[in-house]
Amino acid sequence: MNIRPARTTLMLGALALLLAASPALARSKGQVIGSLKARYPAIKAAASSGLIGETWTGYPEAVSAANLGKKVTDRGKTITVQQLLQAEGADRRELYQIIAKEQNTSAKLVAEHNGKRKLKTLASGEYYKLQSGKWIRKR
Amino acid sequence: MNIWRPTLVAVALFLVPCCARVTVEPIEVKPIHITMDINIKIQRELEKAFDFEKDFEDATPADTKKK
Repeated sequence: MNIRPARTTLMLGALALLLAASPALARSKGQVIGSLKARYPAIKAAASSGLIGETWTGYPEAVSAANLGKKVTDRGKTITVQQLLQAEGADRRELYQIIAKEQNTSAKLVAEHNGKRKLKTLASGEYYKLQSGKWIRKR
Repeated sequence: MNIWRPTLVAVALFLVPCCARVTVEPIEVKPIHITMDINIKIQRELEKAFDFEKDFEDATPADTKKK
């Protein structure tokens, strides 16, 4: 008899969580781009300092595992490189999925196209991870 | 008889092109559908989405870029 109210509370809680999470899942393309744009100075700074690099997969990675714990500043907030990469990766994944849906293709293909594009736009001193797994640095 | 045969052949050869009739059928102009390569479309979409990168590069002073 006591189990039923607890179960109902749990179900209501789960429903509330689902509803709270739904706006984040259903972000528009413009909102995702806006988020990427806001984070871009932090990404660029981390890339310029050699902490992170772009990869052929279309997602940035830490050049060295030791860099993951290092601190960076994103919009005045101090976070780790790992947190920065996680946030950037989530936004990019969402954008790739949106573009893939629009073009009736896979998000992986869109991501890899962006990986190629990033190689072209690489600035001097920045790292890039090739498909072979080797990191290269642009002179 | 020997004169008639070449004469008939000559007359026939002369008349055949005159009788030839060329009819030009109206040409049906169909719309040309260009199937754009999906890769070009993806590249274009990515260029548009990451256009803010250019703005950032433009806003970054030249001396900062060199570092």
